[in-house]
Amino acid sequence: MTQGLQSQYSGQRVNTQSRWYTLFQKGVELGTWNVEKLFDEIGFEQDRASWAALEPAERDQIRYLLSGFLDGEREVAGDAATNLQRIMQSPCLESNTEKEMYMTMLTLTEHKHTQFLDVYMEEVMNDADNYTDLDPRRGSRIPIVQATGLGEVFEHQGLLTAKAASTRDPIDIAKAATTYHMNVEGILARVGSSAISRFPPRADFPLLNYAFKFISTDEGRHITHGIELLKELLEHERAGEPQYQGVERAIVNTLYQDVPYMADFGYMFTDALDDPLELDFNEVLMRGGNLIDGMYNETLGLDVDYMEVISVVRDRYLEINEWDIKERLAEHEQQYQRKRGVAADGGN
Amino acid sequence: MTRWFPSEEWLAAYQERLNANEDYIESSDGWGEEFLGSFIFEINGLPLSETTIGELPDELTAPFRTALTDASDARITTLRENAPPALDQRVAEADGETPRDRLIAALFDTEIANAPAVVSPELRVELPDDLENLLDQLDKYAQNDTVYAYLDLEDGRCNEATVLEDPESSTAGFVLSAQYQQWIELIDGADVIEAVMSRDMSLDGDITNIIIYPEAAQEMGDTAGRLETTFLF
Repeated sequence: MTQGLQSQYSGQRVNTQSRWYTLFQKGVELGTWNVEKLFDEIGFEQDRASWAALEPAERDQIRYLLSGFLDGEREVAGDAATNLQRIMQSPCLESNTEKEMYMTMLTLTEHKHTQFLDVYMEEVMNDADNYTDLDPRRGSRIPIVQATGLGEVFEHQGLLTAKAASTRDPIDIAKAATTYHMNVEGILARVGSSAISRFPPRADFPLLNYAFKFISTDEGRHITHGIELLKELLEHERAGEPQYQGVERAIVNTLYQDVPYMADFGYMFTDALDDPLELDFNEVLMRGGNLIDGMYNETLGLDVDYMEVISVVRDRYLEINEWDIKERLAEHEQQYQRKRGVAADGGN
Repeated sequence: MTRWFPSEEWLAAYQERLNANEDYIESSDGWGEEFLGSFIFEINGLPLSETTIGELPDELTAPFRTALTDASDARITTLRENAPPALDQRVAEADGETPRDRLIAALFDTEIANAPAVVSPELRVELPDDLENLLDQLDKYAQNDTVYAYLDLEDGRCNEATVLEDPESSTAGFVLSAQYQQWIELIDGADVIEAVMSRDMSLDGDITNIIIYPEAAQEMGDTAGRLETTFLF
């Protein structure tokens, strides 16, 4: 990892040769892009023009995709600032100081992602979903996120990171890192970013695309952190240390728990809307499968049971195919509007 | 009988095994009824230009070598006289003390891709049936270094299994593609779903249908794995 970026300096309290120190430095170097400067330099004009020219169903498709990101980024930013920071202080982990340093970079960048999406959706999409008084940290999710299963993954992440922050147990940390770094950042965010990169030419959003290049680079470091963290726990388990026994099983089981709802995310911005932008649910599923294999099997050396993965995704897919997604969405939207105290006939 | 892969005979045996496999029949109940369930297997990277006749398995080529070694001098002379230009040139460049040695060396050093131009009708008489059949099939079906097989799968049955002479004229619901070495691994027992997930194999088609029938996909791979197979390359 990050060979060639090793520090040439040394200190007393900070281990400058730690892989987390290197990640921290990379974050300092690369993660400091300025959201407002990006707005100033690229501007909203082209994105607004493209948005205005799209058909309503096409707009919904992009809105749903970005809604998933907005709720997700808000959730990971909140958990990073609270639970993950505490997890990094756990006695069962090495390099606590450097991990805490890195976590400040991770937290900063996650908040910037939220900042970008929130402002972008307001400025470009005049969105109905990004109200300040209703967000996941206050108990509400965007209706489409709640109507499909994506919210379940975020709920799971919140519960697992809170538990790990409290117990600081290696198994709990493994579960939390799996949901947060592997499933949310490593699979959901990358699958979503890939869909944005496949927008057709009529959906020309230069500001969105530019920002997502930065966001993807940031996420890459976050995923590296998660993988290195899990590798550390697995090494202890494989060395036979009693406290760490069960780490591998916890990682794989957490995947099996999340993966059906992760597939919902792909469904939510493709087939649930008849996919007018041709983002292709098949492509999304295959990309997700490839990422699972790359991260879990190849990088961590685990043995994921693909029949189990496909079986749970199948069960969930058959279930959501029975839904009237518009009816479910309308129900959540009404609930959402009631919470805001807005009349049922609209208002902003 | 040896089931050579890839060949028409292997595919026919695979079809027979699928149709006799209760687990496959049960797990693919309803498959292809509301969507196109047919498959094309695309076997890429066959080493036809790199592999010589002499490098094929001994079981195929030993009887051919014996036939030429035991042939009379007069028969060798007839074969030389009726040799096509491509063989003539190879014989002229071949090592060997006698005309017979040079003919054998030239033939056995011929790449499979070049065999049709070198093996004359007169020489075909000396080819063992299996070898003649397989060389004919490769000549007929190989599109550069790729062979395409078509399987018509519907509701637990394989209605048709053919090697395609003209793949452009066939439409299938799914195309499973991989390099020849990966097909060997699959037939040797590798997990087809894992191979697709890891991108060792490529699957084109409606994945949501595969998701609903994962056991059927697994059984298709396992059925191939249980078939006694001898690999041509």
